[in-house]
Amino acid sequence: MKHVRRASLVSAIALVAAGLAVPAFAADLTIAMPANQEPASLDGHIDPYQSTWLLDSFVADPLVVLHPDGKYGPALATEWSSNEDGTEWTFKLRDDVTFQDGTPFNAAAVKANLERIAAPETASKQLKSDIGPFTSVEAVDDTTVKITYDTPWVTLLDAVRRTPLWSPAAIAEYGADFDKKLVGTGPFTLQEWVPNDHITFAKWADYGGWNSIMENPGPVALDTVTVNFIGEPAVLGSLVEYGDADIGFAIPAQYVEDYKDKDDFQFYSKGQSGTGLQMVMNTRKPPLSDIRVRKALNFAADQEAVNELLYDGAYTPSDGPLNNSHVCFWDGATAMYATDTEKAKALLDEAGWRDEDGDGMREAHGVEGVEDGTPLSIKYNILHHQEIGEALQAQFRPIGINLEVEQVPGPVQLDRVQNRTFDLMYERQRSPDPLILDQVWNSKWDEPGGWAWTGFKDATLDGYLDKLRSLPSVEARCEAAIEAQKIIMENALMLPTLSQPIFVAMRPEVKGFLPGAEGNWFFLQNTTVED
Amino acid sequence: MKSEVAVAPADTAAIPRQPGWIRRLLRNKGALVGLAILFGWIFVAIFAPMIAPYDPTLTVARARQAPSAEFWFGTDQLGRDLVSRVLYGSRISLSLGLISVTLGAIPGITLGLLAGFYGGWVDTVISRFVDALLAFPSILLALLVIATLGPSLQNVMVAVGVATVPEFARLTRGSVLAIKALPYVDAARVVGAKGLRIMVLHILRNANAPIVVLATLQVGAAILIGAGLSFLGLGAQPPTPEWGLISAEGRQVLRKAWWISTFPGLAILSVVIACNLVGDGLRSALDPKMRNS
Repeated sequence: MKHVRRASLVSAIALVAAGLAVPAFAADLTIAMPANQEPASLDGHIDPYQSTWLLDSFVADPLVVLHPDGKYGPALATEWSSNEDGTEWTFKLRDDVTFQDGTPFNAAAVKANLERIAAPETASKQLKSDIGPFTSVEAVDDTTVKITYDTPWVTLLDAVRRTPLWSPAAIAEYGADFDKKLVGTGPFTLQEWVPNDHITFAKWADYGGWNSIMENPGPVALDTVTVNFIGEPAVLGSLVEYGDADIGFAIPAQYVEDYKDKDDFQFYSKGQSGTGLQMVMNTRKPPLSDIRVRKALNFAADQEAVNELLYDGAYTPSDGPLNNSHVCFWDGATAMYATDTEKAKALLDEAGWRDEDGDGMREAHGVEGVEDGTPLSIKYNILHHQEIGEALQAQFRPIGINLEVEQVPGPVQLDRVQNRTFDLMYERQRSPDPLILDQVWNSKWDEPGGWAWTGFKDATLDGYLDKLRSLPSVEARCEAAIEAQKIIMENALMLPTLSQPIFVAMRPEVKGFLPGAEGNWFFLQNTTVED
Repeated sequence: MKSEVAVAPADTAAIPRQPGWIRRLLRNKGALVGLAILFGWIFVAIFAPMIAPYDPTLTVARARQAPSAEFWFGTDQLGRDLVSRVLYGSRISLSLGLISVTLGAIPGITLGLLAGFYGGWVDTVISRFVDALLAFPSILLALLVIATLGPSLQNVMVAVGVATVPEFARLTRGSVLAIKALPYVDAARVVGAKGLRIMVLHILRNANAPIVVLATLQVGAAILIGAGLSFLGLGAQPPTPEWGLISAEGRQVLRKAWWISTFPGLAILSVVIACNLVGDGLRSALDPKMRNS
């Protein structure tokens, strides 16, 4: 009896010791994100923003996954191939996947998804153009899909890695409410979306780990993931510090010092390949219809000083249509418009914008289409980063340019673009592929709903941009992209500002958080939170 | 035959002389403090270009510098001197308060005067209109106007003015209703005075005390609403040194640079408190019932 008691005591001590040695895992993860990353619709087939596709990736696995090293890996497709000119793509699918509603995932489901995105009634704002004008999607058999194009479409993988694949049965069942239901094949189900507040995802117990990003097959460790959307930057920057969030995603630069190199927190920053926080110019009307004025703005701006002033140099340079960290960045853009206020003044004088009344601000004198005496005022509309506009405003004022900085919501931005009532408009695209240049600068996308806003049309530029969809090798596409960037900068069609890295702060208890190849992407499949 | 009636001279010395309203106002310590603050800000507003050490729109130092001997209120996120921005901001806030209250008072008083004097269907129509306006909180009414006209400082003045119209109309109507029943108004009518003359000379002139009090209080409220609209990005636009806008610009870095939002906030607080103190003092000074209290 004594031995039994002793044995029980030893067992109890061993159990307690084991409990202390092995960390327990909390099953709930809270992420704080800027409010401007909350989607208008959670259906990535419709909504055009990267944050929407990121949140969709919790619920729906893609065909292929872009690994942190920039290489594509299998997800719902086990293998894929295209013909030499990129007009025919074949995807071989997994045969053991079901959607969260129990319906099978197969070639017919992929076909239904792609056709839904392409359908005009879906009103897809981005994925439709990314996936491209395929002529047919064929379910060759249950696990084989063939996509055919008239023209080469070599960038399809970059599109399908962001494309959520939804259950066709659920789409049919929920109709217009589908974006509040979301049924995919991913590690989490959508539990709750409270607009302007938070989204909660819950673990899908039947998840098979059908994504090469998973270290172990089967369901994920986390029980729930709650994404809180925070409107106040000061609050967003402090939530992890005060223990109200496990992860602060895209925290403001001013709060980096609270987390960076601190033992109590984990911190990383990652650049975002793409266009940078660029301002595109409306060349249809004065004053920016005059290339001399457009060039003057580029010569007048000192982006490096803006970076130092506002962010203590934490942002990264973006000197051209693709930012400086992009694999296809044209470095000639840096030297082309090195800050030179004297040159800016001379260009404005030559263009007829002079300060003859001595009030310090320039006004029109013989400018075509502008009444004499009209002050040189240029509207500067952004969705965020108003402070960059204000810093540029302060730089432009001494040379007599009045920059009217106004922060507007997304719908107002699109309305002004549609009505062509803007001068300088914020437009950012993020992708490691140079294809984004085509969307922003090819005049064929200067149409309602298109993303080419400047009104500039040049056959040579369009020719280079067309090649971005047909040249199979990255090197060849970069060459075309560089030629396109030269033309864009020679014509001063945009004002580059800065590139925003993503700053992420985490509690030390968060393990297995995996940043994506792009700064604004991450994976939670292997994430745990030590209790 | 001429008869004479001897009239005994009144013993005027026995009646204590009532001090004038200005003297009564100056005896009110709260009102004195309020007046001192207001006159101080008015002085600052007039002489801002001479007092302010720097151009309020120019970057003069490193961003977000804490208050120091060189920069008393520190610098903002663009390295602009906050003392200069707050001093120049008084011009905008005070003129916003005065102009918007004037814009609201003129139609408000007119509507109240017409409603109270004519009564009947005129009163019914005007009163229901005013009731409808009063159903909206002032800030909401101002937001509606801004949504229609677009964000700018001028439109904020109009918006805040519109938001104050119902207050003036209601108060004026009440005063007119009380005054028009007094015998001297009947007397004026009997001697042939017409409507407009009675309204302006006999009624409005005697109803001005509560209106002046309300106007004083409304200046403070208007400054507060205007600053609130600018804080929301609907009023003054960058780089205008407007107090609400400066506060808004500082809130992104509140924990890092508390001074950017704090000093313009204190400026708003001081003007609003001053207006309220002066308004309370005026109410005491002008209200016969409160003269001896």
